[in-house]
Amino acid sequence: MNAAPLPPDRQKLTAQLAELRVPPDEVDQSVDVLLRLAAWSAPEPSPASSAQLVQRLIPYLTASSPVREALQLPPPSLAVTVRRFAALCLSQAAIFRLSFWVLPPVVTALAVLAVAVVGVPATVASSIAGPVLGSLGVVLAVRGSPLRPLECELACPPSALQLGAARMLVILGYDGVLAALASGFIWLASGASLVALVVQNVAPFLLVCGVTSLLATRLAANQAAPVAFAAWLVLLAQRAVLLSASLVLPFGQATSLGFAAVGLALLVVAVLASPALARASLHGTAGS
Amino acid sequence: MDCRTDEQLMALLQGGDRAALSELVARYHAPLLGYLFRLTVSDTALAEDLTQDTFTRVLQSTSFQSGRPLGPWLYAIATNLCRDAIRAPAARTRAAISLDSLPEPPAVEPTPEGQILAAKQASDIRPAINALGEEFRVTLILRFYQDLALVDIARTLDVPVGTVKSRLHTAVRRLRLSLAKQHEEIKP
Repeated sequence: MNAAPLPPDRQKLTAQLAELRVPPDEVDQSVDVLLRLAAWSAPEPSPASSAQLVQRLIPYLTASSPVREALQLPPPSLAVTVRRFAALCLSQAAIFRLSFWVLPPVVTALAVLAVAVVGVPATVASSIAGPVLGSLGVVLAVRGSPLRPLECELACPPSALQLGAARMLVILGYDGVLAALASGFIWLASGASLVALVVQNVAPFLLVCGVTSLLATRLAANQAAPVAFAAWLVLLAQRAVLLSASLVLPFGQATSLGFAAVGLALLVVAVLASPALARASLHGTAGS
Repeated sequence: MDCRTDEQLMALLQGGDRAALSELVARYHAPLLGYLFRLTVSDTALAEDLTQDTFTRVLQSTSFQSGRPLGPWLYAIATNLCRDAIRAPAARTRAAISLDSLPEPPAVEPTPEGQILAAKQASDIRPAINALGEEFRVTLILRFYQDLALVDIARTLDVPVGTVKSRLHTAVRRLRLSLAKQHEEIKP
């Protein structure tokens, strides 16, 4: 490609016209016309003007970015995605404070002891221990409470969503298993129905965990957790008052499963909303 | 001698390589300026602005697909920018002024007689090309000034190769008739 006038090349132009299937009787005249195109010459940029152009373009040149380069790679396979997400979960687990790992087992142990040793009814222990685990799990997984979801954004700008999902998986995986384990121990101690105990324990755990997570998108996590837990206690108290019961009565299985579903839905909403809320926080509009 | 492909050049550019930018400008500055100069009917200032805008768009764009030839993509950006500029009122005025005043082209012949002849021929060919209509003019310039292959013109304009051939055929015929008419009018 060249901006300079075309050299008069009758043979080349004839070949080019043949590509266009110009009738033979028009070829000579057409070539004559095309040869005249060379009369309209264009300016040639000097080396100095090219150098000036480069200087003017440099500000638009992107700084080298591994993230940008990675974005241009083909998408990884599902297996690679799962493996990377597992690694992300491990990396999140590695940055959680010691209290995240220690306090939930203590709560679980206390719940079991309360049933086995003190004689607290299993329904009471289940109704309290699960939600405590749920709110503790969320509040202990957050290191920079005042930042709200912006913590994830600042830690890993391109994947706040992934990071939030990874944290939720760790919380559900660890505290959820502990809640289920607590049910197992209480079952051993009380002899009540195992399925009912698991549902009674895990469902409030999920509900309070979901409410805490959602509130934590608007409030600091250490404020969101007490609010969510208090709301749960109010619900229990209201139910006790309505039924004129002195003890916390277990919710029916259908209600408990409903709590679990709502809790999971709230968790999903909280995780999905995090990136947008983090961006809004970054621009100083969230929570204001 | 540098033997980097356009694709390698773009990969380096996207990584922020300044040497790749210099190389891109060295390769495409003159062709793009020439193309835009003719597309704007000899408006050198507008052509220079649009050339810079084209490179700027290339640097800002994330839509370049590896494996796609760079030349047609650059010409497509330049064509679109030129269309937008010509449609803008300020630029239209400038283009009209250029077309009406038909400034003297740079000298291509060493002798004064040669200069006069070249200027005369250019002043004949320029309005004839401009009168072709946009789609024919663009296609003709890409083929006979920029020396793009038919398939690359098709990529640039996002039309089938058959359409490119048909437009070129029509453009050459119209140009021939237009110049013949000019010739007839000049004859006493």
